[in-house]
Amino acid sequence: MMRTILTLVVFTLTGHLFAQDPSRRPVDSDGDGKISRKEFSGPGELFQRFDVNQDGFIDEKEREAMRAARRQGGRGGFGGVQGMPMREFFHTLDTNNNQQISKGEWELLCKADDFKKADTDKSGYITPRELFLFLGMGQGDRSGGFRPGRGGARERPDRGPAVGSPAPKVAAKTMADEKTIDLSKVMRTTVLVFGSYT
Amino acid sequence: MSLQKVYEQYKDRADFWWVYIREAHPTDSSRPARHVQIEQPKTFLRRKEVASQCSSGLKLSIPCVVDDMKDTVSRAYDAMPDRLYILDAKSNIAFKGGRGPRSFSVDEMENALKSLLAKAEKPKAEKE
Repeated sequence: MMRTILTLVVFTLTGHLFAQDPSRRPVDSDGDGKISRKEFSGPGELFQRFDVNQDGFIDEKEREAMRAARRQGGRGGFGGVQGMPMREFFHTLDTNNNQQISKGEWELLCKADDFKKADTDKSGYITPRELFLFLGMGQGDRSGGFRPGRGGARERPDRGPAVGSPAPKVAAKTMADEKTIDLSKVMRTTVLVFGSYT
Repeated sequence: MSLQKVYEQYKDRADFWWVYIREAHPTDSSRPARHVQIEQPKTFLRRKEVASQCSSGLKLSIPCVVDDMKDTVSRAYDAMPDRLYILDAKSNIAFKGGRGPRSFSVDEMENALKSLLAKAEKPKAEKE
Protein backbone atom coordinates (compact mmCIF):
# COMPACT_ATOMS: atom_id res chain seq x y z
CA MET A 1 0.00 0.00 0.00
CA MET A 2 2.69 2.42 1.09
CA ARG A 3 4.74 1.51 -1.91
CA THR A 4 1.84 2.29 -4.16
CA ILE A 5 1.41 5.66 -2.54
CA LEU A 6 5.08 6.46 -2.89
CA THR A 7 5.10 5.28 -6.45
CA LEU A 8 2.14 7.47 -7.22
CA VAL A 9 3.68 10.47 -5.49
CA VAL A 10 6.96 10.05 -7.31
CA PHE A 11 5.18 9.48 -10.56
CA THR A 12 3.09 12.58 -10.18
CA LEU A 13 6.16 14.66 -9.48
CA THR A 14 8.26 13.24 -12.21
CA GLY A 15 5.40 13.10 -14.62
CA HIS A 16 5.03 16.85 -14.41
CA LEU A 17 8.65 17.66 -14.48
CA PHE A 18 10.40 15.27 -16.71
CA ALA A 19 7.93 13.71 -19.06
CA GLN A 20 8.21 16.87 -21.10
CA ASP A 21 10.97 17.53 -23.56
CA PRO A 22 14.46 17.90 -22.13
CA SER A 23 14.57 21.64 -22.71
CA ARG A 24 11.96 22.01 -20.01
CA ARG A 25 14.20 20.42 -17.43
CA PRO A 26 15.45 22.87 -14.87
CA VAL A 27 18.79 24.28 -15.95
CA ASP A 28 21.14 26.32 -13.85
CA SER A 29 21.69 28.77 -16.69
CA ASP A 30 23.62 31.41 -14.73
CA GLY A 31 25.88 28.73 -13.24
CA ASP A 32 25.58 29.81 -9.62
CA GLY A 33 25.00 26.24 -8.47
CA LYS A 34 21.35 26.68 -7.71
CA ILE A 35 18.13 27.03 -9.61
CA SER A 36 16.06 30.13 -9.17
CA ARG A 37 12.37 30.35 -9.82
CA LYS A 38 13.16 31.91 -13.19
CA GLU A 39 15.41 29.06 -14.25
CA PHE A 40 12.81 26.53 -13.23
CA SER A 41 10.45 25.82 -16.07
CA GLY A 42 8.04 23.56 -14.23
CA PRO A 43 4.93 24.64 -12.36
CA GLY A 44 5.43 26.92 -9.39
CA GLU A 45 3.86 24.48 -7.00
CA LEU A 46 6.57 21.98 -7.79
CA PHE A 47 9.27 24.58 -7.35
CA GLN A 48 8.00 25.28 -3.87
CA ARG A 49 7.98 21.60 -3.05
CA PHE A 50 11.55 21.14 -4.09
CA ASP A 51 12.70 24.35 -2.44
CA VAL A 52 12.64 22.74 0.96
CA ASN A 53 14.20 25.58 2.93
CA GLN A 54 12.05 28.11 1.08
CA ASP A 55 14.92 30.42 0.22
CA GLY A 56 13.73 30.90 -3.32
CA PHE A 57 16.43 28.68 -4.80
CA ILE A 58 16.76 24.97 -5.39
CA ASP A 59 20.29 24.30 -4.23
CA GLU A 60 22.51 21.32 -4.90
CA LYS A 61 21.09 19.19 -2.12
CA GLU A 62 17.54 19.90 -3.17
CA ARG A 63 18.43 19.15 -6.76
CA GLU A 64 19.73 15.80 -5.64
CA ALA A 65 16.29 14.96 -4.27
CA MET A 66 14.82 16.03 -7.57
CA ARG A 67 17.17 13.79 -9.49
CA ALA A 68 16.40 10.90 -7.21
CA ALA A 69 12.72 11.40 -7.89
CA ARG A 70 13.46 11.32 -11.57
CA ARG A 71 15.57 8.19 -11.32
CA GLN A 72 12.83 6.45 -9.44
CA GLY A 73 10.31 7.57 -11.98
CA GLY A 74 12.37 6.14 -14.78
CA ARG A 75 12.72 2.88 -12.99
CA GLY A 76 9.03 2.47 -12.55
CA GLY A 77 8.42 4.25 -9.33
CA PHE A 78 9.76 3.73 -5.89
CA GLY A 79 10.81 0.32 -7.04
CA GLY A 80 9.45 -1.71 -4.25
CA VAL A 81 12.31 -0.58 -2.07
CA GLN A 82 14.27 -3.27 -3.83
CA GLY A 83 15.24 -0.71 -6.40
CA MET A 84 16.46 1.84 -3.94
CA PRO A 85 18.37 1.03 -0.82
CA MET A 86 16.87 2.44 2.35
CA ARG A 87 19.95 4.52 2.98
CA GLU A 88 19.73 6.21 -0.35
CA PHE A 89 16.07 6.94 0.11
CA PHE A 90 16.70 8.33 3.56
CA HIS A 91 19.42 10.65 2.30
CA THR A 92 17.21 11.74 -0.53
CA LEU A 93 14.58 12.85 1.92
CA ASP A 94 17.07 14.24 4.42
CA THR A 95 17.89 17.24 2.29
CA ASN A 96 19.81 19.17 4.94
CA ASN A 97 21.73 16.06 5.91
CA ASN A 98 21.14 16.18 9.65
CA GLN A 99 20.21 12.49 9.85
CA GLN A 100 16.61 13.40 10.55
CA ILE A 101 13.72 13.97 8.22
CA SER A 102 11.66 16.99 9.12
CA LYS A 103 8.04 17.43 8.11
CA GLY A 104 9.07 19.75 5.29
CA GLU A 105 11.61 17.32 3.97
CA TRP A 106 9.09 14.52 4.14
CA GLU A 107 6.47 16.40 2.22
CA LEU A 108 8.89 16.95 -0.59
CA LEU A 109 8.38 13.43 -1.85
CA CYS A 110 5.92 11.74 0.44
CA LYS A 111 2.35 12.18 1.48
CA ALA A 112 1.94 14.69 4.30
CA ASP A 113 -0.52 12.43 6.11
CA ASP A 114 2.06 9.71 6.32
CA PHE A 115 4.47 11.86 8.30
CA LYS A 116 2.45 11.37 11.48
CA LYS A 117 2.28 7.66 10.90
CA ALA A 118 5.99 7.34 10.32
CA ASP A 119 6.98 9.57 13.23
CA THR A 120 6.18 6.90 15.78
CA ASP A 121 7.73 8.64 18.78
CA LYS A 122 6.07 11.97 17.85
CA SER A 123 9.35 13.81 18.00
CA GLY A 124 8.59 15.84 14.91
CA TYR A 125 11.42 14.14 13.08
CA ILE A 126 11.76 10.82 11.36
CA THR A 127 14.85 8.83 12.19
CA PRO A 128 16.31 6.19 9.88
CA ARG A 129 14.81 3.53 12.08
CA GLU A 130 11.36 5.08 11.90
CA LEU A 131 11.57 5.26 8.14
CA PHE A 132 12.76 1.70 8.09
CA LEU A 133 9.79 0.54 10.14
CA PHE A 134 7.37 2.70 8.25
CA LEU A 135 8.35 1.15 4.96
CA GLY A 136 7.53 -2.22 6.43
CA MET A 137 11.08 -3.42 6.45
CA GLY A 138 11.38 -3.82 10.18
CA GLN A 139 9.55 -7.10 10.33
CA GLY A 140 11.16 -9.70 12.43
CA ASP A 141 12.46 -9.03 15.85
CA ARG A 142 15.69 -7.26 15.14
CA SER A 143 16.22 -4.74 17.86
CA GLY A 144 18.13 -1.53 17.38
CA GLY A 145 18.76 -2.84 14.00
CA PHE A 146 19.05 -0.14 11.37
CA ARG A 147 22.04 -1.13 9.35
CA PRO A 148 22.21 1.06 6.29
CA GLY A 149 22.44 -0.73 3.04
CA ARG A 150 21.99 -4.17 4.49
CA GLY A 151 19.18 -6.48 5.28
CA GLY A 152 15.87 -4.71 4.98
CA ALA A 153 16.24 -3.31 1.53
CA ARG A 154 17.03 -6.71 0.14
CA GLU A 155 14.31 -8.58 1.98
CA ARG A 156 12.86 -11.29 -0.21
CA PRO A 157 9.21 -12.19 -0.09
CA ASP A 158 8.54 -15.22 2.06
CA ARG A 159 7.56 -18.18 -0.08
CA GLY A 160 7.41 -20.75 2.68
CA PRO A 161 4.16 -22.67 3.16
CA ALA A 162 1.71 -20.97 5.54
CA VAL A 163 0.52 -22.41 8.80
CA GLY A 164 -2.43 -24.72 8.17
CA SER A 165 -1.49 -25.57 4.61
CA PRO A 166 -0.44 -29.09 3.74
CA ALA A 167 3.27 -29.85 3.84
CA PRO A 168 4.97 -29.42 0.46
CA LYS A 169 5.38 -32.68 -1.42
CA VAL A 170 9.09 -33.08 -1.11
CA ALA A 171 11.40 -35.80 0.00
CA ALA A 172 15.02 -36.03 0.99
CA LYS A 173 17.53 -38.74 1.55
CA THR A 174 18.96 -39.55 4.91
CA MET A 175 22.57 -38.74 5.48
CA ALA A 176 23.39 -42.17 6.83
CA ASP A 177 21.96 -44.63 4.33
CA GLU A 178 20.27 -42.53 1.63
CA LYS A 179 16.86 -43.81 2.56
CA THR A 180 14.25 -41.53 1.04
CA ILE A 181 12.13 -39.77 3.60
CA ASP A 182 8.82 -38.39 2.39
CA LEU A 183 8.52 -35.11 4.23
CA SER A 184 4.94 -34.58 3.06
CA LYS A 185 3.61 -37.59 4.97
CA VAL A 186 4.54 -37.73 8.60
CA MET A 187 3.37 -40.19 11.22
CA ARG A 188 3.27 -37.78 14.13
CA THR A 189 4.23 -34.27 15.08
CA THR A 190 7.47 -33.57 13.28
CA VAL A 191 9.96 -30.80 13.75
CA LEU A 192 11.90 -29.77 10.69
CA VAL A 193 15.15 -27.99 11.32
CA PHE A 194 16.68 -26.39 8.26
CA GLY A 195 20.24 -25.31 8.30
CA SER A 196 23.75 -25.61 7.07
CA TYR A 197 27.13 -25.34 8.71
CA THR A 198 27.80 -21.73 7.90
CA MET B 1 17.39 -23.54 24.91
CA SER B 2 19.56 -25.19 22.35
CA LEU B 3 18.18 -27.30 19.55
CA GLN B 4 19.94 -30.35 20.83
CA LYS B 5 18.26 -29.97 24.22
CA VAL B 6 14.84 -29.51 22.66
CA TYR B 7 15.47 -32.64 20.63
CA GLU B 8 16.46 -34.67 23.65
CA GLN B 9 13.50 -33.47 25.62
CA TYR B 10 10.86 -34.13 22.98
CA LYS B 11 12.26 -36.88 20.79
CA ASP B 12 10.02 -39.52 22.34
CA ARG B 13 6.91 -37.54 21.55
CA ALA B 14 7.77 -36.00 18.21
CA ASP B 15 9.91 -36.80 15.21
CA PHE B 16 12.77 -34.52 14.33
CA TRP B 17 14.47 -34.09 11.02
CA TRP B 18 17.35 -31.86 10.50
CA VAL B 19 17.38 -30.95 6.82
CA TYR B 20 20.86 -30.11 5.71
CA ILE B 21 20.58 -27.46 3.01
CA ARG B 22 22.89 -25.35 0.85
CA GLU B 23 25.64 -23.59 2.77
CA ALA B 24 24.76 -19.97 3.39
CA HIS B 25 28.30 -18.61 3.73
CA PRO B 26 30.75 -20.97 2.08
CA THR B 27 34.29 -19.89 1.29
CA ASP B 28 33.44 -19.45 -2.38
CA SER B 29 30.67 -16.95 -1.69
CA SER B 30 30.79 -13.20 -1.37
CA ARG B 31 30.43 -13.33 2.40
CA PRO B 32 32.21 -16.40 3.71
CA ALA B 33 31.72 -17.43 7.32
CA ARG B 34 34.62 -16.99 9.71
CA HIS B 35 33.88 -19.71 12.22
CA VAL B 36 33.92 -22.58 9.72
CA GLN B 37 35.45 -22.62 6.32
CA ILE B 38 33.61 -24.80 3.88
CA GLU B 39 33.41 -24.67 0.15
CA GLN B 40 29.92 -25.03 -1.29
CA PRO B 41 29.45 -28.76 -1.95
CA LYS B 42 29.21 -29.40 -5.68
CA THR B 43 28.01 -32.99 -5.51
CA PHE B 44 25.48 -34.81 -3.39
CA LEU B 45 28.21 -37.02 -1.99
CA ARG B 46 30.19 -34.02 -0.85
CA ARG B 47 27.07 -32.43 0.58
CA LYS B 48 26.50 -35.53 2.66
CA GLU B 49 30.06 -35.34 3.95
CA VAL B 50 29.63 -31.72 4.97
CA ALA B 51 26.31 -32.54 6.59
CA SER B 52 27.98 -35.16 8.69
CA GLN B 53 30.84 -32.81 9.60
CA CYS B 54 28.26 -30.25 10.57
CA SER B 55 26.32 -32.71 12.71
CA SER B 56 29.38 -33.56 14.70
CA GLY B 57 30.76 -30.03 14.67
CA LEU B 58 27.58 -28.59 16.12
CA LYS B 59 27.10 -31.62 18.39
CA LEU B 60 23.64 -32.25 16.98
CA SER B 61 22.28 -35.76 17.11
CA ILE B 62 19.02 -34.90 15.36
CA PRO B 63 18.61 -37.37 12.48
CA CYS B 64 19.72 -35.76 9.29
CA VAL B 65 18.35 -35.74 5.78
CA VAL B 66 20.26 -34.01 3.03
CA ASP B 67 18.53 -31.78 0.51
CA ASP B 68 19.22 -32.65 -3.11
CA MET B 69 21.46 -30.58 -5.36
CA LYS B 70 18.47 -28.75 -6.80
CA ASP B 71 17.62 -27.55 -3.26
CA THR B 72 14.12 -28.96 -3.67
CA VAL B 73 13.21 -29.05 -0.01
CA SER B 74 14.88 -25.77 0.83
CA ARG B 75 12.99 -24.02 -1.94
CA ALA B 76 9.67 -25.58 -1.04
CA TYR B 77 10.03 -24.27 2.50
CA ASP B 78 11.90 -21.06 1.66
CA ALA B 79 14.33 -22.25 4.26
CA MET B 80 17.58 -20.48 3.43
CA PRO B 81 19.68 -19.87 5.43
CA ASP B 82 18.05 -21.56 8.41
CA ARG B 83 14.52 -22.06 9.58
CA LEU B 84 12.23 -24.10 11.81
CA TYR B 85 8.90 -25.69 10.96
CA ILE B 86 6.60 -28.08 12.77
CA LEU B 87 4.26 -30.42 10.92
CA ASP B 88 1.30 -31.88 12.74
CA ALA B 89 0.26 -35.52 12.59
CA LYS B 90 -1.95 -34.76 9.58
CA SER B 91 1.09 -33.48 7.72
CA ASN B 92 -0.07 -29.90 7.78
CA ILE B 93 2.13 -26.99 8.69
CA ALA B 94 1.50 -26.30 12.36
CA PHE B 95 4.26 -23.84 13.04
CA LYS B 96 6.34 -21.73 10.77
CA GLY B 97 9.41 -20.13 12.22
CA GLY B 98 10.92 -16.97 10.85
CA ARG B 99 13.78 -17.03 8.41
CA GLY B 100 17.20 -17.07 9.94
CA PRO B 101 19.40 -15.69 11.10
CA ARG B 102 17.32 -12.77 12.35
CA SER B 103 14.04 -14.50 13.04
CA PHE B 104 15.36 -17.94 13.86
CA SER B 105 14.10 -18.76 17.32
CA VAL B 106 14.37 -22.12 19.00
CA ASP B 107 12.39 -20.87 22.01
CA GLU B 108 9.48 -19.87 19.84
CA MET B 109 9.51 -23.28 18.21
CA GLU B 110 9.70 -25.03 21.56
CA ASN B 111 6.67 -23.13 22.86
CA ALA B 112 4.72 -24.05 19.76
CA LEU B 113 5.81 -27.66 20.03
CA LYS B 114 4.84 -27.80 23.68
CA SER B 115 1.32 -26.52 23.11
CA LEU B 116 0.90 -28.63 20.01
CA LEU B 117 1.84 -31.80 21.84
CA ALA B 118 -0.38 -30.88 24.76
CA LYS B 119 -3.29 -30.42 22.37
CA ALA B 120 -2.58 -33.65 20.52
CA GLU B 121 -2.13 -35.74 23.62
CA LYS B 122 -5.05 -34.44 25.63
CA PRO B 123 -7.91 -36.30 23.87
CA LYS B 124 -5.91 -39.47 24.02
CA ALA B 125 -5.39 -39.14 27.76
CA GLU B 126 -9.09 -38.57 28.29
CA LYS B 127 -10.01 -41.72 26.46
CA GLU B 128 -7.74 -43.89 28.51
